[in-house]
Amino acid sequence: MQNLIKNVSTEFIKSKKTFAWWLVIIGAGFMPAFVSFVFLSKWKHLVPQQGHNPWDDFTEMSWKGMGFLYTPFFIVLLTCLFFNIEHKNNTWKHIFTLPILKSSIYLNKLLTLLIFIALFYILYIPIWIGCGFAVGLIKPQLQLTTHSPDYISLVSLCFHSFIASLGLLAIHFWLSIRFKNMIIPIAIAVVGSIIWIALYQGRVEEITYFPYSYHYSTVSPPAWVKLKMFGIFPQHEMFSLLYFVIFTSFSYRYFIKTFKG
Amino acid sequence: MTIIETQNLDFAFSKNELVLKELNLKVEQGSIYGFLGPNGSGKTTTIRLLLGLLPNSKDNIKLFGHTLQDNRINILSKTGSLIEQPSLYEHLSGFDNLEITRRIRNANKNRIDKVLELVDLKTASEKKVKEYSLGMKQRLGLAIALLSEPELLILDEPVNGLDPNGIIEIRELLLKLNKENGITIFLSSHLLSEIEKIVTHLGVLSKGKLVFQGQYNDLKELQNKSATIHIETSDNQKSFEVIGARFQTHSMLNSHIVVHYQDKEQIAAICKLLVETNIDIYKMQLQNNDLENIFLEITKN
Repeated sequence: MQNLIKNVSTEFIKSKKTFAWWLVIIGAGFMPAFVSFVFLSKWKHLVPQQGHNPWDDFTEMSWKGMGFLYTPFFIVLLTCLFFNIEHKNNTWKHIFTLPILKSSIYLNKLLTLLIFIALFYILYIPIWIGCGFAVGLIKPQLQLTTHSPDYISLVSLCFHSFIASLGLLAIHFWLSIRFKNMIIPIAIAVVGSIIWIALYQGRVEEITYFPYSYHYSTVSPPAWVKLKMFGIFPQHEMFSLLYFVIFTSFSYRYFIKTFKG
Repeated sequence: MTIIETQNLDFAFSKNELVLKELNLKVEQGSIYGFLGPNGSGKTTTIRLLLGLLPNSKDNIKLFGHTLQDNRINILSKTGSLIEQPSLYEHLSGFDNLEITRRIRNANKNRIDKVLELVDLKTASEKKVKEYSLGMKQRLGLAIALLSEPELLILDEPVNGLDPNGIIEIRELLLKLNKENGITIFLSSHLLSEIEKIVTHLGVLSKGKLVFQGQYNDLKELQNKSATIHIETSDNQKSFEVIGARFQTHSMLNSHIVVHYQDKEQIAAICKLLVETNIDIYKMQLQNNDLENIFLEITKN
């Protein structure tokens, strides 16, 4: 365990002074800041009616923005940037001559990315709450300071969004190992996103098999797809977990057997 | 004790083209083994195989007496390496680069200061690596290789691209490490002149084949054996016969004859012999037979 912590800590040293950290920090703060800007500039249209909690609008606008293209591309870019540290510096050959198992190297990388994504959500929560209350203080008419956000729903959305990220993470984890040129995984993500928007516009039921749509499905489940639950997870999140298992196994095998850096 | 041993090591990137052919390397403990060969002869491929960076299904690579396949982690924990250009995180400082390897290798914290001092990079340790010169990067790569006090250093072209001062610095450092710490050093180069001053043993690789392996002195002996003198006289035919009766002649060309010689006394004796036979000597020219030429000769053949 001590070795695992030590090895994972080296991944964080490597990411120092890279855009990956800024992506997590700016990524967590951008959407709350943007929604705050919208609330402040369009506040007259957003003054709540009697009995309505203004935080519901703040939540909906924030999460729909997060789920649309924002979080999927955050995952894609983060994964690309993270692997690009090794590809760009040509450091794989050095790593593979250190007395560490290839399986440990793989696990360290995966764990570090999971921690980065978790950090994104952990940072998002206080920034989002802070932005909401700040907007409430600047424009008391919006009544954000006299109402409270649904904290349980906030944490739950973060958790489900994290689960929805896993399938996409595993796919792009493999792509980032496979292709040194980070443009290729990004191009695949662009094509994937165009497809999911087309599927959404066409109200296609098969959207539930398409991992680029999972963040939005978590925030706003498509009305034309019958909602099936597996315990606490809706169907698309179960698929996200399934993709995670399949693509992680696939990339693990590729990393151990084929990948030479 | 033999530190590196390969037995009939073959390697091919594709089915039809063998890059290495029956390579039998033997590197003794405490030696500085120069692994020479022209560009493309298979040096880096050999080093990559020795470090497990290329797949090898046979048990024919042994380091520290153990097969690489079954003891990779144990072997790598005793080995420091530098392959081609050093692999460094350019956006990080020299210190951070060392810290990454230190943590993975479980080396003591004070080793960082020690190796920085050893390679003379202490004052530049907080600078970003992208601001380093090539020589500094090479020295940092060496510092990383030395972090865990290895018993074996495998260095691929460690002085490649360095200026003469840089070459001298690295050379002195390697000599010091070998003498004071007893580290066995295996280093490759395509230029004999770069490493001839420090190596105790040599292996010469040509087109994937080991064409020479032995002590550095063995190569010098080879140098002596191939030394020739070109002689032009008033009667080359007669000179060839006269000299041939007492000394080992090589060949007779139109303008001169070629004679092997062992030492300067022999040159004087040849001269005396020709004078006694009333043959006029027009020219006696020692042929350039430095080690570089021997190396070229070996790899050409």
